[in-house]
Amino acid sequence: MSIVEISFVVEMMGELLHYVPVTLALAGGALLLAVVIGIAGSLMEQWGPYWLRRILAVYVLLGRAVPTMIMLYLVYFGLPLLLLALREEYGVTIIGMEKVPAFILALLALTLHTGAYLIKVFDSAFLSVDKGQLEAGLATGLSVWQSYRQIIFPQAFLYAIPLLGNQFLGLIKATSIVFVISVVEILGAAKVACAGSYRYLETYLAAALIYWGFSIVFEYLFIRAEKYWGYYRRGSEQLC
Amino acid sequence: MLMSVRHVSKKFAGVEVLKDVNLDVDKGDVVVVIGPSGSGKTTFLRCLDFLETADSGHLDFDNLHFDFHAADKKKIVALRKKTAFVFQNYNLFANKTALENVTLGLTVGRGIDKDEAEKLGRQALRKVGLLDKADYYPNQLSGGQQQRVGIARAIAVKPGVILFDEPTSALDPQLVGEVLLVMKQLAAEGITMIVVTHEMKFAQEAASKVVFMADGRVIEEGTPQEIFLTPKKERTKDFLKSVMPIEYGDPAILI
Amino acid sequence: MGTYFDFGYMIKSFPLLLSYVHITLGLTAAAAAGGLALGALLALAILKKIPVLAQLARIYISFMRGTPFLVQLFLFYFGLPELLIQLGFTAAHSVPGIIYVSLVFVLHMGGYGAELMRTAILAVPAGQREAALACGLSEWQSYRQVIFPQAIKIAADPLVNTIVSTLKDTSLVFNVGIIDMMRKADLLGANSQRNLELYIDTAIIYILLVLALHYGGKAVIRFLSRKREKAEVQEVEYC
Repeated sequence: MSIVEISFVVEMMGELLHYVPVTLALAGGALLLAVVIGIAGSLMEQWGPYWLRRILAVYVLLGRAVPTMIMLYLVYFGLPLLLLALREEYGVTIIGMEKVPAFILALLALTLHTGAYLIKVFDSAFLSVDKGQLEAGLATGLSVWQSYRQIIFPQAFLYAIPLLGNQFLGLIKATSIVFVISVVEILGAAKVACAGSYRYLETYLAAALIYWGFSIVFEYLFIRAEKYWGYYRRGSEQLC
Repeated sequence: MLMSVRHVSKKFAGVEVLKDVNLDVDKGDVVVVIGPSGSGKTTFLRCLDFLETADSGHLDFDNLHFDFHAADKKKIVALRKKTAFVFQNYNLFANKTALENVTLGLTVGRGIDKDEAEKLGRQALRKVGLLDKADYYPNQLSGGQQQRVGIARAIAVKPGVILFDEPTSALDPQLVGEVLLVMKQLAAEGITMIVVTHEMKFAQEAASKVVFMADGRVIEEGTPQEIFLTPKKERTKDFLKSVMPIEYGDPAILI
Repeated sequence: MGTYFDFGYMIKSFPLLLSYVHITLGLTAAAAAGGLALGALLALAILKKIPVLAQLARIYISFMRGTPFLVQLFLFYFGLPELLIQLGFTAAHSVPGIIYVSLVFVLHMGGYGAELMRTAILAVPAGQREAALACGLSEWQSYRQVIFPQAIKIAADPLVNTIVSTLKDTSLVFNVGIIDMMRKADLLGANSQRNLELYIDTAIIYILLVLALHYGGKAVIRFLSRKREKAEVQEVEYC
C-alpha cells in the first residue's frame, strides 16, 4: 500500500468540490459588501464629520487587529444576543431574525474584518489619483460628484484591483475557519469525512489542493482583469 | 468691463502671499502676469477660479458678484461654467481619450447632447492641430500635445475668459513653441485670456496688458511697451534684468 | 443589562485567559525565527537559480501562500504523523502536538518570508550592483555592502506585517488540541455560557499584542535605520 493513495485523494477532491459554492459565496459576498464599506468609509474619512472619522479610525484599527477567528466568535455570540436584547428591551424585532443562520453570521464576520482593510485600500487608491484631476474636473464645470464619477472613481478603482484581488484570495482562505460555527464548506466537509475514514493525510491534502487550485486560477484572473480595465495605461504602441 | 477683481488678500501659514491685488479685464484682453517665483501670481490666478480660497476681496464677472472668503457654492459652479482653466501640468483626465477630455465639460458639465458635443470637440481639436489624435489617451501623447488638448478642452466650452497657469513651464523646450503658437492664435482671435507665464517673448508679442507682481502685490502694470521698454519701478527693472540679461543687463557683466 | 452581558465576569476572566499568552507568543517567536531562516534559504535557492531546488522552492512557496493556514495546520498535525508512521517512524504519535504545530508555523512563515525577501532583493535597483562592481567590489562584497542593507530596509515593514499576521494565526491552534487562551475561553464558556465576554477578553488581548508588535516593530526598524543611511549612499556614489 502506497503512502499516499492518489486515487483516494482524487476521489476526495471530487467530494469536496461540492462545497466550493459555499466557499465562493462566502468569499464573494464578503468582498462585495466589504467593497461598499471600503469606498463609503474612505469617502467619509475624507469628507465626513469629525465624530464619524474617529469612529472609522477605531474601526479600521480594530478590524485589522482582531484575528478573524475571534471576529467570527464575537459575531456568532454577540449578534443573536444583540437582537435578543433589542427585542426584549425595546420591542424591536428585526424581521424573522429569531435565529440568524450561521452562514449569515459567518458572512458578517468576514465582511467586518475585510471592510477595515478595504477602507485602507481605498484610502490609498483615492490618494493615488493626482489632485489635479479633480481640479481640472471642477474647472471644466463639473460638480464634485460628477468629477468623482467620471474621473476619480475609475482611476482609483483600477489602482485598487490588485489589492482587491489579494483580499479575495485571503477571503477564500479565511472561509476555511467557519466550520467552527457549523457552516459546512470545504474544510468542514473534509473534517467530517476524516471522522469516518481516518485517512487524514489524503483528505486534508485533497482540501489543500482545491484551495491551491483556486489561488492559482484567481490570481491569474485578477491579472487579466487589471490589464483589461487598464486600457488607458498602455503606452504609445497599441490603441485597441 | 468683463471681470473686475478688487483687494484680493491671502495669508498662508502666517505668510501674506497676496496683498491687496486688483485687476480689471476687458473683453478681448490678453493679460499676461509676470514675476519672480513666490510672487503669488499663480495663487492669484487659482483664487480667481476658486481653486484656492482668498481671505478677502471681491470679484465681479459677467453679472456675478463674489466675496472671496464667503462665496456661494452654486455661484462658483456657475462661474466655472463660464470660464476655463489651463493647468501647468495639463491635468488631462487620464482615463479619457483626447476627444472625451474635451467634451466632458460639455456633456456632463453643461448637459449638451453627445453628438453636438463631439462636433464642438473635434472643432476645438482641429484648432489646436490634434484632430488626428482624438482617440488617443493622454499617456500616448507628448507633453506639448497634452497641453494643446488641455487648451482645446478650454476653448470647446466657449468660455468668457481662459485662465492659463504657466502653461509651458512643464514642457521640454522643443515643445514650448507649439503651445505658444496656439495661444497666440487665440489671442489674435480676440479670446479673453489671463496668462501667468515666464515666457517674456509671448508677453511682448501677444499681451494687451502686462502685470508685474512681486511679493504678493502688483508692482506695475501697463501695455507691453510700457513695461518692457519704459519700466518705472526699480523692482520691475531688476526683474527684467534677471530674466532677460541680454536685453536689459549691463553689457560689462556679460563678458 | 445584567443577564445579557456580565461585565464583572469579563474583567474577572481576563487574567485567567492572559496567563496562557506565553503559548501565543512562543509560537510566534518560533515561527519568526525558524521561518525567516527557512525563507532566506528558499529565496537564495530561487535567486541563485539552483537547478532543482529553485523549482521546488517556487512550488513550496506557492503552496504555503495559496492554501489556508488552518488547512496546513490540519494537514501537518493529523496527516504528518500518519506519513511518518508509514515511513517507519512509529513513535510519531508520542511527539507532543506543539512540536507539529510549531513546525507548521515555521513552514508557513518560511513560504511568506521567502517571497518577501526575494522581492526585496529584486527591488534594489540594478544600478546599485553595477555601480558597486564598477567601483571594484567583488560580487559578494557588493551584496554585503550595498544590496543586502538596502534589501533589508525594503523588507523590514512587510516583515513586521507578516509576523503580526502569524501572531493572529495563533488564534487557530486550539483546533488542533493546543491549550491556549482560545481553548480556555472555549472551556470556560461551555460552563458559564458567557462566551461573548470571554471572547471579548481574547479580542482585547490579541489587540494589545498586535498593536505592541506592530508599533514596536516599526520603532525597532526606525531605530536601526537611523544612522546608517548616509553612510550607505556615500559608499556607492563616492567610492
